[in-house]
Amino acid sequence: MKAFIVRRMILIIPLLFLISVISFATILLPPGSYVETYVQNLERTGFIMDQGQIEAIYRQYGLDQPAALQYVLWMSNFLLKGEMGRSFIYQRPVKEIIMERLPMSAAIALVSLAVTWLIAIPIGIYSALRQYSVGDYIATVIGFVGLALPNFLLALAIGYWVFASTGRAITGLFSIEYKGAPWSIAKFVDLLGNIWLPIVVIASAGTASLIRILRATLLDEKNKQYVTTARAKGLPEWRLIMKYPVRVAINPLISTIGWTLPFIVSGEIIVSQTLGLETLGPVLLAAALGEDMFLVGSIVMILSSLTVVGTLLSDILLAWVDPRIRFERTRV
Amino acid sequence: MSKNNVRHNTEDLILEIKNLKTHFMLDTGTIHAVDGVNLTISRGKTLGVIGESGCGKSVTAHSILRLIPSPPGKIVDGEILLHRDGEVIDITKLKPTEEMMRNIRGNDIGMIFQEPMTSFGPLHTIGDQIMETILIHNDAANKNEARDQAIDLLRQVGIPNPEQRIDAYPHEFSGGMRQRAMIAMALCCSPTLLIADEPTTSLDVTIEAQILELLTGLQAQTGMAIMLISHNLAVVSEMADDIAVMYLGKRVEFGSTDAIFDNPLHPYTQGLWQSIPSVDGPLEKLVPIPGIVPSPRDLPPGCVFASRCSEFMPGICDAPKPVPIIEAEPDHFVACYLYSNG
Repeated sequence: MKAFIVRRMILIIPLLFLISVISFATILLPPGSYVETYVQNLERTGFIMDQGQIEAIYRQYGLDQPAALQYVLWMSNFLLKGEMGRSFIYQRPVKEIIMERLPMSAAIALVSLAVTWLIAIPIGIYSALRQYSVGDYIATVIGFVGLALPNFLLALAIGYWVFASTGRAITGLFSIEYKGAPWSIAKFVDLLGNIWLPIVVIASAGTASLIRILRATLLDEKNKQYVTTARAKGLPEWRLIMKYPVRVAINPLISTIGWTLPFIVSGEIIVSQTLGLETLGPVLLAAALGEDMFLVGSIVMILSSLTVVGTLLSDILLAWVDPRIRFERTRV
Repeated sequence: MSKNNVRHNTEDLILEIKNLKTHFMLDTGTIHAVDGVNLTISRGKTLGVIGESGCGKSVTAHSILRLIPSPPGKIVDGEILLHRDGEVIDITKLKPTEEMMRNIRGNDIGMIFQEPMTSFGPLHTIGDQIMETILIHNDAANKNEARDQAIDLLRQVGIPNPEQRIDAYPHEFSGGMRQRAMIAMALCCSPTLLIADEPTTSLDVTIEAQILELLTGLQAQTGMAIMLISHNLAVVSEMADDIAVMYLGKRVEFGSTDAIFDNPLHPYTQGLWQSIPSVDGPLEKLVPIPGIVPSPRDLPPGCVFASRCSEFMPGICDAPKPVPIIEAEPDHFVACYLYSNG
């Protein structure tokens, strides 16, 4: 098991390097640059910059250096100081922007993840054990609706319905009066009144697919010989179902944990945009539209790295719960 | 009905199956998988059950432990009487999930299955799965005792290095090893009856011989009874004291192994014998049984073997009434009009 983890950790290093190069390439890729847009905007207001001033800006951001050097500069800043350059739009360090939004992104993502699993696993097990029962059909219908409905539409529909019936407008995580206010009990209560909507919306989509995956695997597993063996041993039905087929059926879900790591950082971009959530998703969108390349490149790099790390975590978890996946054999 | 059981002293009986009917209610019709089977198993003896695929051997065995998936399966009639410590329990009256039934499973009756490759859960060690059986049936046992007992059992069934192998996962065992471990698990609570449902069908011939030898040896040690289900006549003839021949959910012949081999009465049993080559006798022509097994969905009226029978008597065999069970010689029963003396 240890050898397996170490081998996978070493394999990941070249992959992360490749990701950083590609992320940096996306920074350099667009033909224009933020500086050009910036200068053009100034010119439109009548302020003409001379060449010297423009070059000063280029120098300030290190944009006059060759690409390879720029990459080395960017990476070494990132690795040594955690700096990821400066955002042109926000006129602040990229690191600050990310750190400011990260806690809320992570909170929403983790809570909706927990809600997803808490709802999906019992329903999935029920659906498989009582296949074609009324409850199974209801779960299936709700699951497919959740799967087919675009999240943002559900968000808007529920938001409208809440407004129409209670007069409360959910436009973001906080009501307007608390937006800039320091943390207080009242602000937290206000947060609770708003945050359930994105959680319900995000969880609904994930729940549906998890239910389908779990149901399908469990239907397969529950009729296998080893379940009959366990029954023939005299195990109580509930205990044997949980210990044998459910344990096996959970494995595909564990392999999806890896994908949720980047999602914790960026959140559901479209839902966040629709509901005005202050997560990283809308920042990425705005940065991409505004050619704020350091911000885009940094977020892209973080998301891709997290995907790789998440996959590694999934693999380690899977190897831990499923002895068939471990490479080494028990020595006998 | 009572006639079927006269040959045994009731004190020696472990299991009596009377007129068992297990049917499967499918959308396309009812399958009469087991349709009026009578069997008796005595303490320390081996009952061989033979018949071709789909004749209801396995369904009979699964019915005994109430392992038939329901729906669609259902025991619609009959009794399965388990004799235990002077009391008689009708297993068909129990709920499959109730405590009494779980108590019988693994404790009074152990079972091993045809597919050793998939008989163990893949995510738990062999030892864990054996110890689990010990722990659920013996409240007094603690984990260490159970582990010692499991190691002993593994040694008894011939697993080398049981102290280490106990922590191995099923995929680290070969098929023969797994079947040995399976036997160890089935025996861990010293059952009075071991049901072996085609225990060697998926193993190669040398391993098959080893496993059968192991079962015989363990039987001599523990005095348990064995219900050996097989479609392999050689296997059954070697192991069994009594043989039941099944065809299409019915028990067509029942008697001691010698009687069934030396004096097969039912045309189906005779047909089975003619279809196996003999090793030391003169070369004979092998005679297959003509025709195919009818669908258990719509059984023919009267004798179910009539359509393939060389002795078919029109108007008698296909008369729409149950075939009588005749004791043609002492302790040798056959369901056939040929022996009904009018």
